[in-house]
Amino acid sequence: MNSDAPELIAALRSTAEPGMWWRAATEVERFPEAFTSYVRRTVRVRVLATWSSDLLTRLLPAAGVAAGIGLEVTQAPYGQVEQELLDASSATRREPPDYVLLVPNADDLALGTLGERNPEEVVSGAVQRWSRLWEAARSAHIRVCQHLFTPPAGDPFGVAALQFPESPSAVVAQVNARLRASADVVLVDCERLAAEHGLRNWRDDRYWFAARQAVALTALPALARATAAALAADQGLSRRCVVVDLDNTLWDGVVGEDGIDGVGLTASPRGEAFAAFQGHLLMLHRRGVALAVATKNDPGLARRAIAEVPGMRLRPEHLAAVVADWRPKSEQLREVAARLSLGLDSLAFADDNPAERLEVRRALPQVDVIDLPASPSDYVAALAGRPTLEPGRLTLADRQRNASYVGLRAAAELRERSASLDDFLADLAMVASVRPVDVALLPRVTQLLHKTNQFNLTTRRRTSQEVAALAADPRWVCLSLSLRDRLADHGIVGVGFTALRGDEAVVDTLLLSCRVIGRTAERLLLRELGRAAAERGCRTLVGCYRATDRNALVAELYPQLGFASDGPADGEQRYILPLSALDQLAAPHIASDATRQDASDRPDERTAQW
Amino acid sequence: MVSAITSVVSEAFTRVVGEPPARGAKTTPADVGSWNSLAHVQLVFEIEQALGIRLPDDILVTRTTVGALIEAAEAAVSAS
Repeated sequence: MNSDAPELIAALRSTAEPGMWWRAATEVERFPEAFTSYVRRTVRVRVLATWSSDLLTRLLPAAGVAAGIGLEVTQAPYGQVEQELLDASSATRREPPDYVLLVPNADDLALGTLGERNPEEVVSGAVQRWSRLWEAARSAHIRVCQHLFTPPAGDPFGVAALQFPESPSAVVAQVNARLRASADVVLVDCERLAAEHGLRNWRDDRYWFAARQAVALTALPALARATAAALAADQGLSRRCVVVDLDNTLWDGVVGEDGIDGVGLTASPRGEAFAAFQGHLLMLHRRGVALAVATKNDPGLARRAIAEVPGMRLRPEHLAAVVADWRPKSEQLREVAARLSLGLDSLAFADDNPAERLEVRRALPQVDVIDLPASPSDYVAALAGRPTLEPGRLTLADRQRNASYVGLRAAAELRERSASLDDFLADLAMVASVRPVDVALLPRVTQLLHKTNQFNLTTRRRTSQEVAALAADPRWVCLSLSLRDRLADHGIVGVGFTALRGDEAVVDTLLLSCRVIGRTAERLLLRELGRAAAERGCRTLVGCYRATDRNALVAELYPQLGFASDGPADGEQRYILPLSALDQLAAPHIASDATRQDASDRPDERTAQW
Repeated sequence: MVSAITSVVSEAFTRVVGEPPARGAKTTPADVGSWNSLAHVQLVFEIEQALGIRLPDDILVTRTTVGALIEAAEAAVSAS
């Protein structure tokens, strides 16, 4: 049994030092049970590579654990990419994994013969090759994670190479640009990663010639970490909120001792470093990560300082929660999580004080505790490579979420003022729009299916292809719900699918984002599902509840809504409601806005028509 | 007496291959089944990292004896 798991996890998240990574990889291989508490979901990955990727494959499970995702990794024989994806009798096709990891290398592009070929043909040939493989994976219901190409460290066109379309660097850049633009796949941007690492250190040609090792062994940990982070983000496992301390974390000094003007960010080079860190946090905020403060300070002083410290880039409106008192940080973090309706495993925590970090790490192992280095100039770097903060496919909803969290805070304050829940709900002036799932809604709907844990009755994780197929199927009704109130536009926050089976309409999927739990939106969604079913001749609405370790919140939902128990079936509890009694699902505090076609409901993503 | 380089090589060997070189410098791939070509690449890398040296290119493709690795490492260290 291994008791070092917490230390190994912390190290895997913060360094890419090869010795440590190999030790961790061995520990994860030998004692997987010591790491299971860090794994929030497990997926099967098959590696299809055009270089000898065995060592990468061995590092992936450890990288996964650090990012919160279990990776069961198998590997096809070296170079067998087309054979595995295009041949229906291949191992990959016979037992389809959740993901294929496509791992090419620049030698696939035969860059050495560019002088004899039209560079545009080389580029389009490569884009065609990999797009065709994506298509094959898609039709086999396998999701794709694609590594991009890295340019060679030495280019015959020298530093000017990118100005010459026929140079190896320009061809690689073009191929990558086109793959990025057309991708409905999970990308690992090795071009960017190698630039961070240094191109000359990314590949050691001796190892390529001798052993077909296209990425230097010193760079493999960074590659494994980025790959696992991308997969975890795709599964919706990235941390949703960064909680920061104030003194010596956001500003230079201790406000209780140095005063508001004494901790300013404009007076010194150290102050600039703190300002740069705040700038980084602000970008995370714009990307949809919520920010919160947990500080041992007088609450009045903390609030005043946030608003008044000279040179602050973070403003009060960027902070979804501020907890300032003298309790242990672990208790403060619990309060942040509760106020934002987030699980502790959605939090990352950054504090300059090692004792506070240790207290949180011990009390709340679910929280990702970021060790801020001694110098504030290094704070940005400590956050930047963090595998737990990888953005998934961003939808407009992610960017809206922060407006919504701030609205949530205002709503919490409103709730305290309102005499009763009814008054509170009425005061919110909620307007909902329920619409059939269509191509524009698909990315956000799929994202919700993958991310929602608490208010999720059956927790069926479907791919966007599967959702598209259901939405096009006349035997199914697939609806989405968006909600706004006078404090915030929450965007699409609800999904409901029913399967129409004769007299019965079976609610296969019903979920709400945790931001709008307790707003009675589920009643509206169920009523609309019921109406659509009644129009198609059904008589009974059947609700299903499948217990997970996260959704106890909704175990009694259907009985509370007046459904009658129909006993267990297939590992689920079934409940029924005659459609003639549909009116009891009224949601008097939510107005309907069926015609609204607000641009804010549209995820800003490229999606295919079906 | 065992030289520092010899112990670096045999520690790296034990770590990567999963067991110590059974016959010391005379150990060959035939003695240790898990000393395959993949483990060999990792072994060369670990020795280069530990000693801050660069071994000759042909070492990566020729797996003869642990002694050959020690000799190559000694030559690289004294040349540096």
